[in-house]
Amino acid sequence: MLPTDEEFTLLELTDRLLNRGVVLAGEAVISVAGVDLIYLGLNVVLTAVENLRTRREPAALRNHDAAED
Amino acid sequence: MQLSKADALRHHADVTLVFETVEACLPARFPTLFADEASLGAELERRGRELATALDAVRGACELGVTAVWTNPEIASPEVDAAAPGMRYMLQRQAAIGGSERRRLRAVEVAEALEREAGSGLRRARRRVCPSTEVALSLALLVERQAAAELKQKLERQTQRDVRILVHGPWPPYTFAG
Repeated sequence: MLPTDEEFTLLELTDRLLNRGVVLAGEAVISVAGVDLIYLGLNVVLTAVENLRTRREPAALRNHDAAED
Repeated sequence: MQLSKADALRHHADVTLVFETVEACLPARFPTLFADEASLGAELERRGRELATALDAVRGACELGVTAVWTNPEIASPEVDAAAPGMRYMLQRQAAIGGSERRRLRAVEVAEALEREAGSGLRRARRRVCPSTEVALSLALLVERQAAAELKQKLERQTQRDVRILVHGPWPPYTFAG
């Protein structure tokens, strides 16, 4: 049975995520969904995206979450 | 480290968030991992000139993906008229290869038609012809962001006699980042 339209879209997107895009570092081996790709021995610390995500959240939600802490 | 499809899709969500915020975005391949920010900074500095050129190439652009799916399956072992099994096998392989070649040429025709239809909004295109038995063409188009929505509708209206056209995106320019 052929994939559905949504499945084709997901296949195309996954292909782009795994096989395209800028390659900045290639020394690590990792396993994605059980498929061995490259060896990994690194930890990741990236704050820029977290900062962006925080800025995009509504202020009311951020304040509510902070109040619960 | 085990990563999953959910992680990959989360990566895409993060890349899209950045893409929607800036004029030029180079998605990194998933997964891209560094020990710390200093290591990342050093790599970006080392590759700075090359990445700046790559950013300029995608500035103001996004990616549309097109999948052309065959509407009729290709016959893996076509019927041939031959008494001897060896001859039958050779004729079947000949028919299959000829059929595959016809399909390849047809897929290229479809690619050319779609790229023409994209018109002046198209900056670059990258084709994968007959990537599987079901798919005639997987096409990546780098297009002007302002023109993307209209172009997507235009491509979705395309009809070809033997393929079904699916259009995906707009996406960050994964195919044109590397």
